[in-house]
Amino acid sequence: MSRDDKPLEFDEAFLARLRRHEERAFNELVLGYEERVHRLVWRMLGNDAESEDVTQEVFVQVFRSLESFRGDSKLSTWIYRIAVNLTKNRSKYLKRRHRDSHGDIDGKEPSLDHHRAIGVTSGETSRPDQVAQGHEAERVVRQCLDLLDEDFREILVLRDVEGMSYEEVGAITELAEGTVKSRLHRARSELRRMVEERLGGPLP
Amino acid sequence: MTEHDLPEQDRPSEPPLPLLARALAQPPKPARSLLPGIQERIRERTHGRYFRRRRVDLRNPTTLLLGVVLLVLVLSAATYLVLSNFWAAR
Repeated sequence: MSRDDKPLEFDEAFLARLRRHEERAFNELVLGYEERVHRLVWRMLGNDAESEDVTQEVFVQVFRSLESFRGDSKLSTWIYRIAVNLTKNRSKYLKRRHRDSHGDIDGKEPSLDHHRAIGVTSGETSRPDQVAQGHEAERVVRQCLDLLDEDFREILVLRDVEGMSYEEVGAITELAEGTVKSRLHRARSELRRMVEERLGGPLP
Repeated sequence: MTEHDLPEQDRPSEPPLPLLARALAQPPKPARSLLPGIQERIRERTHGRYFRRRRVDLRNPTTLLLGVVLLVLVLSAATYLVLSNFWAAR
Protein backbone atom coordinates (compact mmCIF):
# COMPACT_ATOMS: atom_id res chain seq x y z
CA MET A 1 0.00 0.00 0.00
CA SER A 2 1.46 3.35 -0.96
CA ARG A 3 1.61 6.16 1.47
CA ASP A 4 -0.94 8.12 -0.54
CA ASP A 5 -3.51 5.31 -0.59
CA LYS A 6 -6.29 5.22 1.89
CA PRO A 7 -6.83 1.68 3.13
CA LEU A 8 -10.17 0.32 1.99
CA GLU A 9 -12.45 -0.64 4.84
CA PHE A 10 -14.70 -3.63 4.45
CA ASP A 11 -17.02 -4.71 7.24
CA GLU A 12 -18.02 -8.21 8.29
CA ALA A 13 -21.23 -8.05 6.26
CA PHE A 14 -19.23 -7.35 3.14
CA LEU A 15 -16.85 -10.22 3.90
CA ALA A 16 -19.84 -12.52 4.36
CA ARG A 17 -21.13 -11.47 0.94
CA LEU A 18 -17.72 -12.18 -0.53
CA ARG A 19 -17.57 -15.61 1.09
CA ARG A 20 -20.96 -16.40 -0.45
CA HIS A 21 -19.41 -15.50 -3.81
CA GLU A 22 -21.83 -12.68 -4.31
CA GLU A 23 -20.85 -11.28 -7.66
CA ARG A 24 -21.67 -7.65 -6.93
CA ALA A 25 -19.52 -7.70 -3.78
CA PHE A 26 -16.65 -9.28 -5.67
CA ASN A 27 -16.92 -6.64 -8.40
CA GLU A 28 -16.64 -3.93 -5.72
CA LEU A 29 -13.58 -5.63 -4.32
CA VAL A 30 -11.90 -5.81 -7.72
CA LEU A 31 -12.68 -2.20 -8.55
CA GLY A 32 -11.31 -1.14 -5.18
CA TYR A 33 -8.08 -3.09 -5.42
CA GLU A 34 -7.23 -3.66 -9.08
CA GLU A 35 -5.10 -0.55 -9.43
CA ARG A 36 -3.16 -1.19 -6.22
CA VAL A 37 -2.57 -4.83 -7.04
CA HIS A 38 -1.56 -4.03 -10.61
CA ARG A 39 0.88 -1.41 -9.38
CA LEU A 40 2.48 -3.83 -6.93
CA VAL A 41 2.70 -6.59 -9.52
CA TRP A 42 4.18 -4.26 -12.13
CA ARG A 43 6.78 -3.00 -9.69
CA MET A 44 7.84 -6.54 -8.93
CA LEU A 45 7.58 -7.87 -12.47
CA GLY A 46 8.24 -4.89 -14.70
CA ASN A 47 6.35 -6.15 -17.70
CA ASP A 48 3.10 -4.48 -18.76
CA ALA A 49 1.34 -7.42 -20.41
CA GLU A 50 2.48 -9.95 -17.83
CA SER A 51 1.48 -7.59 -15.01
CA GLU A 52 -2.08 -7.31 -16.31
CA ASP A 53 -2.27 -11.06 -16.73
CA VAL A 54 -0.94 -11.74 -13.22
CA THR A 55 -3.28 -9.14 -11.72
CA GLN A 56 -6.23 -10.89 -13.29
CA GLU A 57 -4.97 -14.23 -11.99
CA VAL A 58 -4.65 -12.73 -8.51
CA PHE A 59 -8.34 -11.88 -8.43
CA VAL A 60 -9.33 -15.25 -9.87
CA GLN A 61 -7.32 -16.86 -7.07
CA VAL A 62 -8.93 -14.51 -4.53
CA PHE A 63 -12.39 -15.48 -5.81
CA ARG A 64 -11.58 -19.19 -5.55
CA SER A 65 -10.08 -18.90 -2.08
CA LEU A 66 -12.58 -16.55 -0.48
CA GLU A 67 -14.29 -19.32 1.45
CA SER A 68 -11.02 -20.16 3.16
CA PHE A 69 -10.30 -16.57 4.19
CA ARG A 70 -10.79 -16.68 7.94
CA GLY A 71 -9.96 -13.08 8.69
CA ASP A 72 -6.74 -13.83 10.63
CA SER A 73 -5.15 -11.00 8.69
CA LYS A 74 -6.57 -7.96 6.98
CA LEU A 75 -8.26 -8.62 3.66
CA SER A 76 -5.77 -6.32 1.93
CA THR A 77 -2.82 -8.23 3.44
CA TRP A 78 -4.31 -11.50 2.25
CA ILE A 79 -4.81 -10.14 -1.28
CA TYR A 80 -1.27 -8.72 -1.40
CA ARG A 81 0.11 -12.06 -0.18
CA ILE A 82 -1.60 -13.82 -3.07
CA ALA A 83 -0.32 -11.12 -5.45
CA VAL A 84 3.26 -11.41 -4.20
CA ASN A 85 3.28 -15.20 -4.40
CA LEU A 86 1.80 -15.34 -7.89
CA THR A 87 4.17 -12.63 -9.08
CA LYS A 88 7.20 -14.45 -7.71
CA ASN A 89 6.09 -17.64 -9.42
CA ARG A 90 5.58 -15.83 -12.70
CA SER A 91 8.94 -14.11 -12.38
CA LYS A 92 10.69 -17.45 -11.86
CA TYR A 93 8.83 -18.91 -14.81
CA LEU A 94 9.79 -16.01 -17.07
CA LYS A 95 13.44 -16.22 -16.05
CA ARG A 96 13.44 -19.96 -16.67
CA ARG A 97 11.85 -19.47 -20.08
CA HIS A 98 14.34 -16.72 -20.90
CA ARG A 99 17.21 -18.97 -19.85
CA ASP A 100 15.86 -21.92 -21.82
CA SER A 101 15.42 -19.87 -24.96
CA HIS A 102 18.88 -18.28 -24.67
CA GLY A 103 20.88 -21.28 -23.56
CA ASP A 104 22.14 -19.63 -20.41
CA ILE A 105 21.12 -16.85 -18.13
CA ASP A 106 23.37 -13.93 -18.83
CA GLY A 107 21.18 -11.65 -16.78
CA LYS A 108 21.96 -8.71 -18.95
CA GLU A 109 18.87 -8.17 -20.99
CA PRO A 110 15.65 -9.42 -19.44
CA SER A 111 12.71 -8.41 -21.63
CA LEU A 112 11.08 -6.18 -19.10
CA ASP A 113 9.18 -2.95 -19.57
CA HIS A 114 10.65 -1.38 -16.44
CA HIS A 115 13.37 -0.13 -18.73
CA ARG A 116 11.12 2.27 -20.53
CA ALA A 117 9.23 3.46 -17.46
CA ILE A 118 9.40 7.15 -16.81
CA GLY A 119 10.62 8.17 -13.41
CA VAL A 120 10.82 11.61 -11.91
CA THR A 121 14.55 12.10 -11.48
CA SER A 122 14.73 13.93 -14.77
CA GLY A 123 12.11 16.38 -13.58
CA GLU A 124 14.34 17.53 -10.75
CA THR A 125 17.08 18.72 -13.03
CA SER A 126 17.05 21.12 -15.89
CA ARG A 127 20.24 20.68 -17.85
CA PRO A 128 19.93 18.17 -20.71
CA ASP A 129 23.01 16.25 -19.60
CA GLN A 130 21.59 15.95 -16.07
CA VAL A 131 18.24 14.81 -17.48
CA ALA A 132 20.03 12.16 -19.49
CA GLN A 133 22.02 11.09 -16.43
CA GLY A 134 18.80 10.88 -14.39
CA HIS A 135 17.14 8.68 -17.00
CA GLU A 136 20.22 6.50 -17.22
CA ALA A 137 20.48 6.09 -13.45
CA GLU A 138 16.81 5.12 -13.20
CA ARG A 139 17.17 2.69 -16.06
CA VAL A 140 20.15 1.08 -14.35
CA VAL A 141 18.28 0.82 -11.04
CA ARG A 142 15.32 -0.87 -12.75
CA GLN A 143 17.64 -3.21 -14.60
CA CYS A 144 19.44 -4.16 -11.38
CA LEU A 145 16.15 -4.67 -9.58
CA ASP A 146 15.08 -7.10 -12.30
CA LEU A 147 18.29 -9.05 -11.80
CA LEU A 148 17.92 -9.31 -8.02
CA ASP A 149 16.74 -12.45 -6.31
CA GLU A 150 12.91 -12.56 -6.09
CA ASP A 151 12.99 -12.55 -2.28
CA PHE A 152 15.11 -9.41 -2.26
CA ARG A 153 13.04 -7.68 -4.90
CA GLU A 154 9.83 -8.48 -3.06
CA ILE A 155 11.04 -6.93 0.17
CA LEU A 156 12.49 -3.83 -1.51
CA VAL A 157 9.29 -3.14 -3.41
CA LEU A 158 7.03 -3.67 -0.41
CA ARG A 159 9.09 -1.59 1.99
CA ASP A 160 11.02 1.00 -0.03
CA VAL A 161 8.64 1.56 -2.93
CA GLU A 162 5.17 0.74 -1.59
CA GLY A 163 6.09 2.24 1.78
CA MET A 164 4.63 -0.53 3.93
CA SER A 165 5.54 -0.96 7.58
CA TYR A 166 7.78 -3.82 8.73
CA GLU A 167 4.71 -5.38 10.28
CA GLU A 168 2.77 -5.28 7.00
CA VAL A 169 5.72 -6.61 5.04
CA GLY A 170 6.10 -9.42 7.58
CA ALA A 171 2.42 -10.28 7.35
CA ILE A 172 2.50 -10.39 3.56
CA THR A 173 5.74 -12.34 3.23
CA GLU A 174 5.01 -14.48 6.32
CA LEU A 175 8.44 -13.62 7.74
CA ALA A 176 9.35 -12.52 11.25
CA GLU A 177 10.01 -8.82 11.61
CA GLY A 178 13.71 -9.40 12.38
CA THR A 179 14.07 -11.46 9.24
CA VAL A 180 12.36 -8.74 7.22
CA LYS A 181 14.81 -6.16 8.54
CA SER A 182 17.92 -8.22 7.92
CA ARG A 183 16.74 -9.31 4.47
CA LEU A 184 15.95 -5.71 3.65
CA HIS A 185 19.43 -4.69 4.71
CA ARG A 186 21.00 -7.32 2.47
CA ALA A 187 18.68 -6.45 -0.42
CA ARG A 188 19.55 -2.74 -0.20
CA SER A 189 23.27 -3.52 -0.01
CA GLU A 190 23.10 -5.84 -2.97
CA LEU A 191 21.10 -3.39 -5.07
CA ARG A 192 23.44 -0.53 -4.17
CA ARG A 193 26.47 -2.65 -5.06
CA MET A 194 25.00 -3.61 -8.43
CA VAL A 195 23.97 -0.06 -9.29
CA GLU A 196 27.33 1.42 -8.27
CA GLU A 197 29.12 -1.22 -10.27
CA ARG A 198 27.16 -0.34 -13.39
CA LEU A 199 27.30 3.42 -12.92
CA GLY A 200 31.00 3.23 -12.14
CA GLY A 201 30.96 5.14 -8.87
CA PRO A 202 29.47 5.43 -5.40
CA LEU A 203 25.91 6.68 -5.00
CA PRO A 204 25.18 9.57 -2.64
CA MET B 1 26.90 -16.33 8.79
CA THR B 2 23.21 -16.11 7.91
CA GLU B 3 20.85 -13.27 8.66
CA HIS B 4 19.51 -15.23 11.61
CA ASP B 5 22.92 -15.48 13.27
CA LEU B 6 23.30 -11.76 13.65
CA PRO B 7 21.45 -10.07 16.54
CA GLU B 8 19.09 -7.47 15.16
CA GLN B 9 20.63 -4.55 17.04
CA ASP B 10 24.07 -5.47 15.68
CA ARG B 11 23.06 -5.45 12.08
CA PRO B 12 24.37 -2.42 10.24
CA SER B 13 21.56 -0.38 8.81
CA GLU B 14 21.65 0.20 5.10
CA PRO B 15 19.64 3.26 4.04
CA PRO B 16 17.10 2.87 1.26
CA LEU B 17 18.14 3.84 -2.21
CA PRO B 18 16.12 6.98 -3.11
CA LEU B 19 16.63 6.21 -6.78
CA LEU B 20 14.64 3.02 -6.42
CA ALA B 21 11.41 4.67 -5.32
CA ARG B 22 11.84 7.34 -7.97
CA ALA B 23 12.54 4.82 -10.71
CA LEU B 24 9.31 2.94 -9.97
CA ALA B 25 7.21 5.95 -9.05
CA GLN B 26 4.88 5.94 -12.01
CA PRO B 27 3.77 2.53 -13.15
CA PRO B 28 1.47 2.50 -16.17
CA LYS B 29 -2.23 2.25 -15.47
CA PRO B 30 -4.12 -0.43 -17.37
CA ALA B 31 -5.95 1.17 -20.30
CA ARG B 32 -9.25 -0.19 -19.00
CA SER B 33 -10.57 -1.96 -15.95
CA LEU B 34 -9.41 -5.54 -15.63
CA LEU B 35 -12.79 -6.56 -14.20
CA PRO B 36 -14.35 -7.90 -17.44
CA GLY B 37 -11.29 -10.08 -18.05
CA ILE B 38 -11.39 -11.37 -14.49
CA GLN B 39 -15.10 -12.17 -14.77
CA GLU B 40 -14.46 -13.97 -18.05
CA ARG B 41 -11.75 -16.14 -16.47
CA ILE B 42 -13.97 -17.00 -13.51
CA ARG B 43 -16.87 -17.77 -15.86
CA GLU B 44 -14.69 -20.15 -17.86
CA ARG B 45 -13.14 -21.88 -14.86
CA THR B 46 -16.42 -22.36 -13.04
CA HIS B 47 -18.09 -23.57 -16.25
CA GLY B 48 -20.50 -20.67 -16.20
CA ARG B 49 -21.56 -21.03 -12.60
CA TYR B 50 -20.52 -17.46 -11.83
CA PHE B 51 -20.66 -14.29 -13.91
CA ARG B 52 -23.00 -15.72 -16.51
CA ARG B 53 -23.93 -13.32 -19.28
CA ARG B 54 -27.49 -12.71 -18.23
CA ARG B 55 -27.82 -8.96 -18.01
CA VAL B 56 -28.00 -6.57 -20.90
CA ASP B 57 -25.15 -4.17 -20.55
CA LEU B 58 -26.29 -0.77 -21.78
CA ARG B 59 -22.72 0.51 -21.76
CA ASN B 60 -21.85 -1.95 -24.48
CA PRO B 61 -21.71 0.05 -27.78
CA THR B 62 -23.30 -2.79 -29.77
CA THR B 63 -26.20 -3.06 -27.35
CA LEU B 64 -26.62 0.68 -27.39
CA LEU B 65 -26.63 0.81 -31.20
CA LEU B 66 -29.17 -1.99 -31.45
CA GLY B 67 -31.35 -0.22 -28.91
CA VAL B 68 -31.27 3.05 -30.87
CA VAL B 69 -32.02 1.28 -34.17
CA LEU B 70 -34.94 -0.55 -32.56
CA LEU B 71 -36.28 2.70 -31.10
CA VAL B 72 -36.07 4.47 -34.47
CA LEU B 73 -37.92 1.57 -36.14
CA VAL B 74 -40.67 1.61 -33.54
CA LEU B 75 -41.07 5.39 -33.81
CA SER B 76 -41.14 5.21 -37.61
CA ALA B 77 -43.79 2.51 -37.56
CA ALA B 78 -45.88 4.45 -35.08
CA THR B 79 -45.57 7.65 -37.15
CA TYR B 80 -46.51 5.77 -40.29
CA LEU B 81 -49.59 4.29 -38.62
CA VAL B 82 -50.74 7.63 -37.23
CA LEU B 83 -50.17 9.43 -40.51
CA SER B 84 -51.80 6.71 -42.62
CA ASN B 85 -54.89 6.81 -40.37
CA PHE B 86 -54.89 10.57 -40.58
CA TRP B 87 -54.74 10.61 -44.39
CA ALA B 88 -57.32 7.82 -44.63
CA ALA B 89 -59.70 9.81 -42.47
CA ARG B 90 -59.40 12.82 -44.78
